[in-house]
Amino acid sequence: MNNIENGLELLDLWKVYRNGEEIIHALSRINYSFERGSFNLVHGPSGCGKSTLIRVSGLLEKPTMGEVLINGKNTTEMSQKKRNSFIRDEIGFIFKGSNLIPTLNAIENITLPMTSKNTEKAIELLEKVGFSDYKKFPDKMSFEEVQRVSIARAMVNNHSIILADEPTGDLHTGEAEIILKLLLDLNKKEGLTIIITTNNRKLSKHHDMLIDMRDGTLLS
Amino acid sequence: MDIYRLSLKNLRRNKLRNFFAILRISMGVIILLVLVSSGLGVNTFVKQANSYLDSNGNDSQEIVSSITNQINSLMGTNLNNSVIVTQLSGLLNNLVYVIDAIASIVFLVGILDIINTMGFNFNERKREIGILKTLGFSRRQLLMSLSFEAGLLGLLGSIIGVIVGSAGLIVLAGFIGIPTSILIPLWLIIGVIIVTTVLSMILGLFPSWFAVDSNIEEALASE
Repeated sequence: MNNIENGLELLDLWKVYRNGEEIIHALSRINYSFERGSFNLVHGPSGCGKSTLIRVSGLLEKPTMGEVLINGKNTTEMSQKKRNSFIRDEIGFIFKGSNLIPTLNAIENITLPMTSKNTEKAIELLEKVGFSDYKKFPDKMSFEEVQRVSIARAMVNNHSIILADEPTGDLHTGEAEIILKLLLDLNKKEGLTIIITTNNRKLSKHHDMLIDMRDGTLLS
Repeated sequence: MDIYRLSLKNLRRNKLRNFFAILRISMGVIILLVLVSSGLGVNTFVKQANSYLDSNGNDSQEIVSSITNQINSLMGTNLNNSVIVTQLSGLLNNLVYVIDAIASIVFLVGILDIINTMGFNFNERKREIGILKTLGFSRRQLLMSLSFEAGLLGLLGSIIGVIVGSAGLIVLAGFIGIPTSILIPLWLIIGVIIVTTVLSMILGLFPSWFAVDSNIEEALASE
């Protein structure tokens, strides 16, 4: 059932890896709908399948079985080319650690994925995330600044969904709070669907919905 | 900013490694130029010698007879003038083929290094290539930009090689009194630059293939 009210819908989703003789069920029959414009915090211990959930939901990997619907569109039968343009137009990613291209400064990192180069828009996005040193290179940025620029880049093509895999993993608690607050503000102001994975329970106060994940399954 | 401009910026990384790759390509190009030019020189010499023999009837017959006599007395053979002329022309032409073959091998050895250099460069940038995938760049775009990077190394190497090699050949041509246009014709210079650049791009595709096809999970997990 396609529901356009859902930003991201996962239907009977499985992801199974084979490691020699061992079979790993990274995602086990996930049925879940993330409402459009919602802010979601997926919490679970390391190895529970959070990163796989982000990669499969973001079309970076194909599921073993099941369907991923984004803004009501079923992505299962999409060709690789279509998946790539879908990623470029609809999904912004943020990962733990360095997300930026080291040879490019902040503004160039933002304009890189743009379908048509628009420096004014890039500056506007950087201002939105509170970063003003446009010419700064990633190796001169703090972890928090790297994540600010990554967040700006994740919105660059008017993306409707941001998938963030442990974006606060390298930050101390204060910085993590600031980055989550920023994402929450963007969710409220821009209406973006945001899904963040974390293994830090302390961050759970920032959420519409806290979702627990264990052994490849979403629990709530 | 497009992904091809990123390739240009990436050349500034690993400066020492890229410098040595360019140096090796330049050496290959210099040796190729020198040996191909030698072949062109020998060819021109054979053609000029033949036309001299044709146009200077008795005088040239005398020269050929004297050479034939010397060879016959030295080798204990009994060859006539026409056999000697045919044999010498054949020998010189074969020499040109051998020179060209050596030039091609040296050139290929120089340029094959691009696989190694690019392999190291891309392996260090696994995560970055993974990040580019998450930005929606297609496999084709990534392959093209990485192979473009290899092509840029080939282009720089060939330009440096052509400048240094041509300078040496110009000095040599002046020294032995052969016109420069015979030793280093324009088609040779343009041909060497195009072949080196295209070959570098094709060879660069090989490590690019591994880099682009690497598992996204592994790429994003690498530092």
